[in-house]
Amino acid sequence: MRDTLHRGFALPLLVVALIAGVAAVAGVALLVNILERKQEAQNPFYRVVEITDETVDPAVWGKNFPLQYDAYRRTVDQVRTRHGGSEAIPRTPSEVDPRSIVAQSRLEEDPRLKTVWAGYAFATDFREERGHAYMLADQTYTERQVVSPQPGTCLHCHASVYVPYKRLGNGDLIKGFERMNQMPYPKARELVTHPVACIDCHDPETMALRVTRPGFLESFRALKAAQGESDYDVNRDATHQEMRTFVCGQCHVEYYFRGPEKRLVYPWPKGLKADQILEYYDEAGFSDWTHAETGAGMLKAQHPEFETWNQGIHARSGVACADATCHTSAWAR
Amino acid sequence: MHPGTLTTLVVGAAVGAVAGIAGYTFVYAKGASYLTDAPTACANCHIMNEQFDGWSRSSHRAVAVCNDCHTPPGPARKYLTKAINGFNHSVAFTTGRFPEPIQITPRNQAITEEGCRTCHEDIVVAIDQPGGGDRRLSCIRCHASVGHL
Repeated sequence: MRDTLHRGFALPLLVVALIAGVAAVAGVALLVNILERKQEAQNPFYRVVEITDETVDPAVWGKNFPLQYDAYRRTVDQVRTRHGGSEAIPRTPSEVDPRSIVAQSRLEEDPRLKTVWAGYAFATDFREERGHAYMLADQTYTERQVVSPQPGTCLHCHASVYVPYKRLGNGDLIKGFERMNQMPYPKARELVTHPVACIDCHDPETMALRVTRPGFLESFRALKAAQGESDYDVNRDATHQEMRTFVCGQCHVEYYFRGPEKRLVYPWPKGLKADQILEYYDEAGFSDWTHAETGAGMLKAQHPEFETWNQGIHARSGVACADATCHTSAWAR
Repeated sequence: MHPGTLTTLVVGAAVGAVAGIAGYTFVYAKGASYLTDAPTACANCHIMNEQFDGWSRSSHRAVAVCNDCHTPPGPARKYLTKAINGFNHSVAFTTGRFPEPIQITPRNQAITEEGCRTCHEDIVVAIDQPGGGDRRLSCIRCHASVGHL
């Protein structure tokens, strides 16, 4: 009788043991999965390739950061929208200009500009701006280079010059900058390979934002010094939020080439407003060109986005170029 | 030993093992933290690192934590949302099957929009329903970076 009683319990107990066994296995599997995820967290991104301070090619950076690289590539889009953009005008490539698509000519759109800029290279060729992807090609092949030979200073903003500057200066960024400024454009052009790239704004180790352009480094330092803050180093002293505008401010600024050494300088010591910049230029006795019809000394402000931003409500409210989805796509997140 | 006793012991050991593994896993995975409002609990999963870093630099870092915007007010609604999201997140992060970049679900987006109004209703009530209908503006369409960049 004892035997029958115990045999009655045996089967359900074995079933429970089986279920408990399966649950234990499942529990350990979950535990191991959690352990694996925690280990993944040690390496926040998979290092497909090693990126160094010499890695110019954004495609290499893109192997580690495919989403960001994809967003970077989108600047090839040429679609007119209500927010801007440009039309893709086809043209026949030639010996001197191999481009098969360009943006439309602003001079054709508004012929008055030829009168406004008489005596200046812009009266020869001026096109609608288009994405970062085209900055080097458009600068290389614009007719302005033909009618008015330019110095290598131009490449400061239209190419990834950080590594070329260091190489030209034997490790010294500023020396390389000075040397390239004094080369004629075609010669300097041989030293660069890419338009603005990841390395121009990001530290390759930490991906932290950094300013690499001597133009901004020196001119912003001069602005701060004029405001009473000597020894300002933007890479040391700027906040992360400020950097989200400063990296754009490396190039989206008004500028001029100072002196026979053609040094790139932003006219900021007296301030960022138009009147203050005019005062600076008047004191320096500088003008961009002499008007061919009136003989007047003229100034033309090139893409002063950083200066105008500084005067508006967005700067006052702490909104940077890269914030919200104004100038960066949500995809770049 | 009696066969019945052996069986009982085996079952007891198995059940005990399950309870032990479950308990250890719960503690190792910081299960209790999900009952709190601590932002670090949300960042237990490293896929949230970007959002956590973004929040800690954002304008709302000193006035709102994750749950202030991503769970509705009231304990019942709040814990229901925690349960739904917790389950979905656990499945997704364990299996790894989810599209990237991660995107908010419509339900959670509605909760987040409600979160803005929980604090800012007074200041926006006049512009919130353009045209006077039921449609409400989306706060984060323009103010996308106030929470996490």
